[in-house]
Amino acid sequence: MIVPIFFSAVIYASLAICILLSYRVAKIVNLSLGSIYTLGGYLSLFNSFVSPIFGALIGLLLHIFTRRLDLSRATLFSLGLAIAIEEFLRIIFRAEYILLNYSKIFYFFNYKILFEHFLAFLISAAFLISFLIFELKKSLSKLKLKIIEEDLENAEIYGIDTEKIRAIVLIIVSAFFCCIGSLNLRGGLVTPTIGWLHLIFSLFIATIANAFREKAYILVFPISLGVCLLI
Amino acid sequence: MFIDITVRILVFVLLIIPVFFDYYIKLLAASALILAIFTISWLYLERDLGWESFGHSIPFGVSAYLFAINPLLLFLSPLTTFLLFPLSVFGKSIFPFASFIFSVFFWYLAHHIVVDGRGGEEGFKVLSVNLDHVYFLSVALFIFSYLLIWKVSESNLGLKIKAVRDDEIAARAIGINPLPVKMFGFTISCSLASIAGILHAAAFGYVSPSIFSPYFSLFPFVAATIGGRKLWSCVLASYLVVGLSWFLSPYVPEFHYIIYALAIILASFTHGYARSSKNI
Repeated sequence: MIVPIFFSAVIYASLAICILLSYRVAKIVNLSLGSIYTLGGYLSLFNSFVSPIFGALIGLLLHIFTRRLDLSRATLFSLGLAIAIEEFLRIIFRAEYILLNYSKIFYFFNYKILFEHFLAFLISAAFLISFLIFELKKSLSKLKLKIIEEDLENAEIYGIDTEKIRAIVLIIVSAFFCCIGSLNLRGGLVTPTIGWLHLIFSLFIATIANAFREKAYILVFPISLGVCLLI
Repeated sequence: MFIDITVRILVFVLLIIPVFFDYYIKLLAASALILAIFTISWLYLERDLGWESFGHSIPFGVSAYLFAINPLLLFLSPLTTFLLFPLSVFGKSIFPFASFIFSVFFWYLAHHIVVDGRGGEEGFKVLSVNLDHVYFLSVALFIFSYLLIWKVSESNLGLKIKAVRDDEIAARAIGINPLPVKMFGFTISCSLASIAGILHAAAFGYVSPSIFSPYFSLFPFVAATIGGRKLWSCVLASYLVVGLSWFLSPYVPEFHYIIYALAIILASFTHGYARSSKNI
């Protein structure tokens, strides 16, 4: 039982980090991430490898349209975008439920797991570890992120290209959500609204972590593990 | 002035015409009218209190569920205020999204509500009520909602509510305690939304988890955006959204979501937020 909980905790922790990054650096509660996650699942019907590209494009689109908007308006735009993606999927696929197939099943510590789910776990774990290393290391990029998180205007005064960093964050976050969606939704039924559940779960973890301020990124995984164990 | 009078006449015509038509048109009109009451309840919260809720489907849906489980429970409907009001701790700019997320949580939670082997994904059947009776009751409650909001807005308490909306700190300085005043405004809005939820359940004869879906959560916001945040125009906009959705959904699945997406994206560029950020 501990293996699936651990897998889910790693995946949701990485998704929660993405939400935290969007909120703290890009100054947006990105509500379109749930639909981007679902879009990834639908794209896996064709090819899972294209999903990060589509995710990145949506992230770029989101950045372009919301760069002059404040947090509330940008969040509102992301909600509109989420509904637009959902409706797009409904129009294209028509059927309310679609079964996504998987390539193979194998055993991991006596636990039966889909190859795609294992891949989602590996990508999430790699993302989580590399982000934690980035967070613990005293690099210039980390310092730039911290300044943007604390005060956007101050960061601009210091000559930091905040727009570029915002664009990079939104593109990476969207691409990551789309990629994980394309792998993690395999082997089950998908509907255009399925992403909301994953978004809310990640948002819940991110909200708890955000209360710890500077330690938020480091504490995301223990919080995610705790929540997954509880549920 | 001319447009305002025309809109009012049009609304009254829309209230009367369905009486002469068949069951289908009457059901469509009842649905639009109930959602118009729902929009009015939302608009009161937004205009007089300055709180924009994207989770108004919570009082709407919870009351419908209570009514479906046991009609006597409808008296608990005003208590749904306590589900929405605590979210105001997030402040005016985050409240819309916090309430929306909470409504989506209810949407998933509703799939697991089972009482005496009923409920779940199928939802609950509601005791049968004649559609004519539901329609006339809806018309009466629509007029009641309008008069209530008008009277409360013009009253002494209404002025206090507006003072709290504009600046909580200044309101406290002149001796107004913002908490009960805000609570009262939320109760009025949630009670009207509850009435709309119960009427919706009675009109359709069943309640399912979809009552918490974004269709209902965002409906008042979309209708208010299309209606320019004026009460009578918002009522007309409610009819427009419901009408377009019913007639075009066979051709484009869930057509209303196209209207929703367009209205929300448009609103993010044009719409002002949170009249006062000076919350206590």
